[in-house]
Amino acid sequence: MKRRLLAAMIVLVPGVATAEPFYLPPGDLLPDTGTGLAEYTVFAPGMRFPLEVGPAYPNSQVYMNGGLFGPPGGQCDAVNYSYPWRDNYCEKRQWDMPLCPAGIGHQGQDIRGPTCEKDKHQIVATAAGQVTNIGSYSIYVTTPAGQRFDYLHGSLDTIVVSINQQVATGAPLVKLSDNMGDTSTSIHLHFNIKQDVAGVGSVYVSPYMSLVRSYEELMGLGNKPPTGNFDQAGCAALTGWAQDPDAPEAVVLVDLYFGGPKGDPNAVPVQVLADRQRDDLCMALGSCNHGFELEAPLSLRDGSAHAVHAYAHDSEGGEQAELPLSPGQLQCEAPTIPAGARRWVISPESLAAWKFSPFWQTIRAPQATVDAIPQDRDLIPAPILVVSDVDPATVWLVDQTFRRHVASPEVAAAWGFDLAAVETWPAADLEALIEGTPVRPQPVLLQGTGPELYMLDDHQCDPAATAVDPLCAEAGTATAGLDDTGMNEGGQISASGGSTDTQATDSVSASSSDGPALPPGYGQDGDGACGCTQPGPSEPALPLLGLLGLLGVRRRR
Amino acid sequence: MVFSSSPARLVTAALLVLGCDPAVDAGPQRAELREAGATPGSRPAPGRGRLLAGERVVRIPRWPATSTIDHAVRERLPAETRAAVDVSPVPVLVPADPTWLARATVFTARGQDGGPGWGYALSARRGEVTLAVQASRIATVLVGVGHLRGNKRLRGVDGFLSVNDGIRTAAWIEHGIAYSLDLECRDPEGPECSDDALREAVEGLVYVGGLGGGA
Repeated sequence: MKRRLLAAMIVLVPGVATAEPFYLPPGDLLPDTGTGLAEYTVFAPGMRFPLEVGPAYPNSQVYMNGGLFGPPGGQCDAVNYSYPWRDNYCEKRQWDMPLCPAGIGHQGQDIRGPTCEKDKHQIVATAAGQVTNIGSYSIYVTTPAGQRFDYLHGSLDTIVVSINQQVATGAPLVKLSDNMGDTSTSIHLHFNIKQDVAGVGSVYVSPYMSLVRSYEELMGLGNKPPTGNFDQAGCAALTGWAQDPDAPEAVVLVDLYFGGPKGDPNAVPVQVLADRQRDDLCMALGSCNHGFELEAPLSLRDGSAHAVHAYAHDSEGGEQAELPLSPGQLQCEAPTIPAGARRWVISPESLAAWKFSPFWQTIRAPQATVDAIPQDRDLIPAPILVVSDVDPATVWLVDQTFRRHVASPEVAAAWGFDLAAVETWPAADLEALIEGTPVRPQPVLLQGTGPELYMLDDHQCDPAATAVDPLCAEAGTATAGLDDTGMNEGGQISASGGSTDTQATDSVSASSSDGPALPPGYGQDGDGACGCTQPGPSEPALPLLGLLGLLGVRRRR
Repeated sequence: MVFSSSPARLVTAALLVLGCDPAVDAGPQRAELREAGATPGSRPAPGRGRLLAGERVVRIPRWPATSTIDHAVRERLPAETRAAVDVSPVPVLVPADPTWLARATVFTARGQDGGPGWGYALSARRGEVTLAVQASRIATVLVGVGHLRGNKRLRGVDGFLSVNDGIRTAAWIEHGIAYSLDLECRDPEGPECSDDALREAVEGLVYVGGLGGGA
């Protein structure tokens, strides 16, 4: 109902082409045309809109007027050339599309130009890159980051690029047409973004929100830009505030780009809400909730300076504004590497299965420092969580021949474990596994200068094989030299390359080593997150019991 | 309440009065960000926000044995294409069928620092049919996307087959690298762009070298 009203109002108001809302939400396909994907991710931040000029009307070619399965009428009907935009990524098709809810669907977004005229409107490169293929009716441009943009149905006669040519953002490619080889289609641009996604491979991702953002920038609104300040890029937090003078009470979004400005393919963008109470803003702005605070990512705590650019969103869809004092420089001392052994994360597929985030969870260290840490068995490709049929309250991670206790819902959450996917095993099967150390409070990854990513972990000792296992301290233990805190005795290592600290410690602290402690939540001193405060396997974790009671568990087949 | 006179604001204001949230993109996104940061009653710790476009990780190629290089096919490649193959940071697969190779080009990406880039792209043409292979060593980790296995068998592994406005496309992971092959015909319904033709093209790729290939 709301949607119909919205569409009707937009159609009624002339000149709303540059206003919000000009688009329906992502995943909101026409009724009975498949299951859309409510994907808000902007997969190509900073991209340029693929038509040289607006307006443009992304919507279905198959289910709108004149389409194969659409209402009567023609493809040039005015309704096809009107707002609001309509997502048609994942629209009903019969072919594999692994990221679509149905596993099948339409690969990209169909876009109509300003008018229903062929060979008139210019298609341009959305990002700089290399022309990697030109087919009978397609042009592929691949960026230096490996992201591929596909432009379909341009007129062959109007192509102005060649294979292997380098093109700049906004460079003309071809004119919008109805070319589909020997057959023709409606006059439109079929636009894809194809990229390599960990866990899946090369797939088409939703281009919808990238188109929305780039269209906002293309059309502009001429309203007042957002304002604010990037106060500091501190190691405790990156802080600042932002407000849109056109909507002073509204909460705005802020995008922080780590490692370069918006549009730099190597920059990592993170979005935060500027919604935090800041007493110092109340008087000045007449409104208090405009602050933002972001944790400094572990992967950038390497002693080097990293540029951080902050941009506030315009509440009416205008161009984002870089905040005063942006860029900041984030420079944090390398943290102490927790004791333990390193386990290779064997592939991006495994990384995805474990739900790790290299950006937030990785300590970067000199290769020599990494090499000095004992290498253990490779990390298993995906986590396997089980409970026994006589004790559904105690969740275990099956780690090769070991079972390791997941001590609390907080630990499970920190690892991203899906407690709804816990398997139930016969108690005898579970007890046949050797009891290892509890799962650490939170994952910490480690990377040297090479591409290999490791997870830091406790080495697991098989009591029957301890004599031949150099990483096991003494016979009869299931863990490698753990003290009663659950941490290894001895060595923590500074990620900055300092020497190994061989003094025994009860917990990791900044003062006992070259580097500072890890940020809160990484299981170090003061977190209350080390192994000593958690219930052991024989001591049921009451919160976990309740959670499992609610979730139920799947019985092993 | 004072409204400005712009049509945009009139629409926005009308929607607000009627209980509609005009910020159509903000719902789930904002809720997710709020959950990440705010805790009622106490000063929340700095949040992690939301990684906007995922995060990039590097695939480590598992190089095939040098003995598996198809030297006959390799020798048929034009010299400049062979040179591009030899600097590829991932194993290069090309069509064995010589009719593809006459008009084949290979582009090997370079990183901004001049080092190895994301992989390679091959473009080949045979009459009115275009074949494109792309191989990537730079993957994006996306929140909420775990390990999705394809339901088709391609080159002995699980993969995906799809059609993109008539362009047949296959995707699979081999040697630790994400490969895709697109087959595009002037006649999208023609036999040269059938499912069988796509499978044949995928199965017909052979290994011809790369930086770690020792050719």
